[in-house]
Amino acid sequence: MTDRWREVYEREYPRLVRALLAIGRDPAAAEDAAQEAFVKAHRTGLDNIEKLSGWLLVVGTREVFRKAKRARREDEVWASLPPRDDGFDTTADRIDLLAALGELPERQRAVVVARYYYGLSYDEIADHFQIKSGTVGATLHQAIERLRQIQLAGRLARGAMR
Amino acid sequence: MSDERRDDEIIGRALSRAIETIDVNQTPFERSRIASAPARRSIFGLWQIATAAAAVVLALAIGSWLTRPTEGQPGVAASPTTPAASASAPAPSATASAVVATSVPTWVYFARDGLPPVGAFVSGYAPTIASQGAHISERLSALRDHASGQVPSGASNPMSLVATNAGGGGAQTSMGITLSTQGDLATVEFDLVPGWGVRGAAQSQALLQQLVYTITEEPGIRRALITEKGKPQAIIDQLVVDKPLTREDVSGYTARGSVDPLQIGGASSPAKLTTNYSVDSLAPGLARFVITFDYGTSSASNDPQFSAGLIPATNETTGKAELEITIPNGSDTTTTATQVDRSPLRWIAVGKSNSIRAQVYRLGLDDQRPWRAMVLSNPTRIVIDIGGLPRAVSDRIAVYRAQVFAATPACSTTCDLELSGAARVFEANVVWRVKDGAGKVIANGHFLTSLGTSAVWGTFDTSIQLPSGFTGNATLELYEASPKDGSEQGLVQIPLMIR
Repeated sequence: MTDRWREVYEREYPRLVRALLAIGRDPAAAEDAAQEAFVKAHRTGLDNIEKLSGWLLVVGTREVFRKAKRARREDEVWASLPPRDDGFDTTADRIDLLAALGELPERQRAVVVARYYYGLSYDEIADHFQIKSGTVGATLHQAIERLRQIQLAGRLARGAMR
Repeated sequence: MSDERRDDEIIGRALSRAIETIDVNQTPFERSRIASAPARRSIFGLWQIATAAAAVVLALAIGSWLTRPTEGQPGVAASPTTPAASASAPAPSATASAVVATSVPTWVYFARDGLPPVGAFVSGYAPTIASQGAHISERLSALRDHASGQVPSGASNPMSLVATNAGGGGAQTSMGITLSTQGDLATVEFDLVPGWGVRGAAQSQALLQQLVYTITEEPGIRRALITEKGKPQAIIDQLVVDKPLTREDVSGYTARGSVDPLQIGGASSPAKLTTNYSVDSLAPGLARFVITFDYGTSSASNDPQFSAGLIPATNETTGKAELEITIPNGSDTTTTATQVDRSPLRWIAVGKSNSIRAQVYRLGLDDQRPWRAMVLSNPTRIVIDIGGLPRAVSDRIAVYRAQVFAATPACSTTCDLELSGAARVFEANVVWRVKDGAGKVIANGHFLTSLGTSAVWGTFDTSIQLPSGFTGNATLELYEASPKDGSEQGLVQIPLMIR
């Protein structure tokens, strides 16, 4: 049983932390939430969870948002930006995209990450996040459009108002 | 798929790649919370039903929370057709496992003769451990083991000559290099077998430049200390390295780019602005950024108001320095940044300052190399030049071109030396002399630039006559004669071959 959990953990954990970091922008909170999600999955039992990766993402997202609500201030959001990146493929575009993602409303952030990073289908997103399947596409399109608009402007605005 | 959907997919995939590059602490399974959780054998124990129900409640809570009305967002300038990161490597599948090592473009530096190093992307491997040391090690590894065939033209890769004790030949996992970081300093210890592999002062200097630039590419690292295992200092052929070095220490320029912001008075009439740039085209190692003013129907001003200055780079961007240019009342309709990635210019960002109603440009740079601002007319342009050939650049004179032109096939009768560049010298007066191989002055004189002492530089494009009958090696020297005592200031020395 432990071996099965180890396998699941090693496969899912890094991806989950990255997704939660992209959604919540706080490294410590992302790790904490990911660990909590696994604890909840463990308690529930592997056999009781139909689609584990989506399940972990939903529970982890909930944890991140719960923590973020406690103390939310705009400058803190920026102060907790992750480091530039891993130092590879260091294009400003990537940083801008992540920064832009951070400016989206939280629900759009979560849906975008679920769709594009986790590769969940519209139906799965609708199912996991309890939203109407008809509105998933519209929410995604709205979010991407917004990303497109702010991905650079955010950084520039910060720079110009330094 | 509709165009709209396809565009969304492109951004979505770019975002997925961006998320994939985020550093995460990979807490091992043994230290995870579930590893220490008690094993549950009963599947239908009461407590489990309770928590499963709780999970459903949670999901519902998220659902309702997710569908609540969105909050107002701060206003930002729109960029309707941003290309995003779509130009880079093919996208990994969004569902790919996060732990698979994939080849990623890795920014490293190559050496150029007489010039600062030039950066380029080579294929490397994302480190499995997220630490500054691991990143630096992977960059050096990419440079030594994977960069062959990816060296930019006109550049060399002395790092490929360095042989280290890699421990059983596992070059990809152990390079024979030990890394540690503290603050902005990275210490890199080489376990060499048997030596550095480079010969002569030029190659040693080239390797040192390459190492310092590549090591300090890591965000937050500005200084590199290179050591050899078991020795108090590193000795690269004859070159002794015994202290931490910054990029500016090894770039080869005698002067450092001014950090004091340049404030230019002048007129601040409303103007539409457009920009362009070039790298290596006017002079080797030189990046030029030009801002062109369009005053519309109002009378043109050749005297625009602006400020420019170097600021330290943030960790959020690539490069180690940023040059910021602010133009009150200017307006550029561009809303996208440009990723240039051609040394020394990494990127160009455009923005607006809300507080002072000005157009702001930022140039991401490799280092704080000397830079200069000029104002040209018809149409009015601000020209920002960064770098140039180090031996032809001082804090007040920069020669971009020095070319010998013979009226006849050889210089046996008359011979002209065509010179162009920029200077900021007293009364616009540049003094020059030509020395022969023995150091004897064979010709001298002076010429004027377009502008005298001012914050902006004057330009020159002139021709000086060399003595007839001279052939062989010579050195052209240019300097400013100090207004105080006539002493030579800002000397540059350019070797010439006169045939």
